[in-house]
Amino acid sequence: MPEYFEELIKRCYQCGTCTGACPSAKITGTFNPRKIIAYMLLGSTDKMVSDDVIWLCTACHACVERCPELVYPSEVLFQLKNVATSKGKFPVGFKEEAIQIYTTGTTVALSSPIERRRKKLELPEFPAVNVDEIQKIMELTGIDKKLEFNGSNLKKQEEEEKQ
Amino acid sequence: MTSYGFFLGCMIPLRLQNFEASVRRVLPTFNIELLTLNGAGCCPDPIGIQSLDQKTWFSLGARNIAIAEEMGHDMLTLCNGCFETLKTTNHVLIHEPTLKDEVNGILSQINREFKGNIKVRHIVEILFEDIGVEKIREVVTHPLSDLKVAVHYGCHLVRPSEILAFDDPERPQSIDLLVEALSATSIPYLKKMECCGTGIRSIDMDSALKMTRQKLIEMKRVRADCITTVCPFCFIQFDVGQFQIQKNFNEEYNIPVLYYMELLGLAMGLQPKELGLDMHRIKTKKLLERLFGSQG
Ligand code: SF4
Ligand code: SF4
Repeated sequence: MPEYFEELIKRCYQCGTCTGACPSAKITGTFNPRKIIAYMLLGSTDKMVSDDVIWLCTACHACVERCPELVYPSEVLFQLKNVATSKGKFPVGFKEEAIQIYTTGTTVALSSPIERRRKKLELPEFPAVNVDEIQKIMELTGIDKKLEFNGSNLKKQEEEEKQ
Repeated sequence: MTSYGFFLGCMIPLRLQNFEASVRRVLPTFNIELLTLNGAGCCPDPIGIQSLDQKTWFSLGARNIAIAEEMGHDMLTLCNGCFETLKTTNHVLIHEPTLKDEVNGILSQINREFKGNIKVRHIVEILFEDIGVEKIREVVTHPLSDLKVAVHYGCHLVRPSEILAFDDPERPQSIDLLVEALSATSIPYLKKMECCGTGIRSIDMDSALKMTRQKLIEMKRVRADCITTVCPFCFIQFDVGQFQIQKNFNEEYNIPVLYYMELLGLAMGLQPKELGLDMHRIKTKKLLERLFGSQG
């Protein structure tokens, strides 16, 4: 956890405004930003990092708008999730999305039915994505290693599928 | 003529072509030229990718911005998700030189550089701030009178307000006024500024749908004829979501969902087919018949 955030959460006085504004707290009953910050203040950041509940934030930022102490709860949650990811704990759905972006540069792969739909609506051809650049960036930031997918294997697969 | 680097993203060109069709057919009326951003990719997703690794999120976003910078044009986005990612990335990198250097260190490996000299704009900003409600009223040939619209802004058009700096994060007005410019009525409803739930769709579908359902209950209570959104993720959550809710909760809402640009296109007399309205899951046929008679 970056030091800046350790400092940031010290401003929290546990008023619960964030949780009151939080749609996920209302619906899931298990997710509670105030409580997550309370655990962190009590020195249990590690416990929170490994708890699946932190992934239930929708990133709506209602908490950010209302927190009287400018704690930026959704941002604190992003930091927790980033730490969780670097420790090998992340939801499979997000991993799949990252792999899709690595493979095609987009979250949805271009296919012939899509091309047909574009043509039917008289839309221009979908502009080619520079996938090489995207792969290079993802290798440099090391997200491929964090998510435990093998970039060069994926590239090989892509090539084979094209042939 | 104003020209923009046209940021398509991925959900719109690859899944919701109706969004793209409405934008491409409507914007020329307002003298806006859309230039292709060669090589651009996913924005990337402000929830999934940012949750996994912020540095990757900033770097991929900065690459997209750098492409627009090279062309020397501001960027136009059609999606709240793209707007959140690109505007936040632009803002944060401009204000945090150390992070900017770090990201540029990565971008230099692909011969690109983030400079921070252009703006990222959402299409609603262009309509509301640059074109203005008055000019929009003037292009309406087919007023949408008697249409009761439930406006769903979507979180990432206005929050976090410190960064996105558009409209009010709790009580915005822009889309309501844009809807009323078409002679339709923006109908007030409870939970209007609540999240649609799409952000946790892949984590906890049941809770995501419950969030959507809460809003649908309120929209139905005020007898909305349709919902309007300005984001492909919110659109899918309401459009496809209504089917899933029907299955899981055995409740039928059947409220058509329209991208604001589709509403505008209809009010300008464009044909539903050329706007791609037949691609929606919740059928718009009855609504169109009511508005324009059987020609719709
Ligand atoms: S609103 Fe802010 S101060 Fe209050 S509990 Fe939440 S984080 Fe702490
Ligand atoms: S951003 Fe996350 S924590 Fe904050 S209110 Fe929204 S769902 Fe709750």
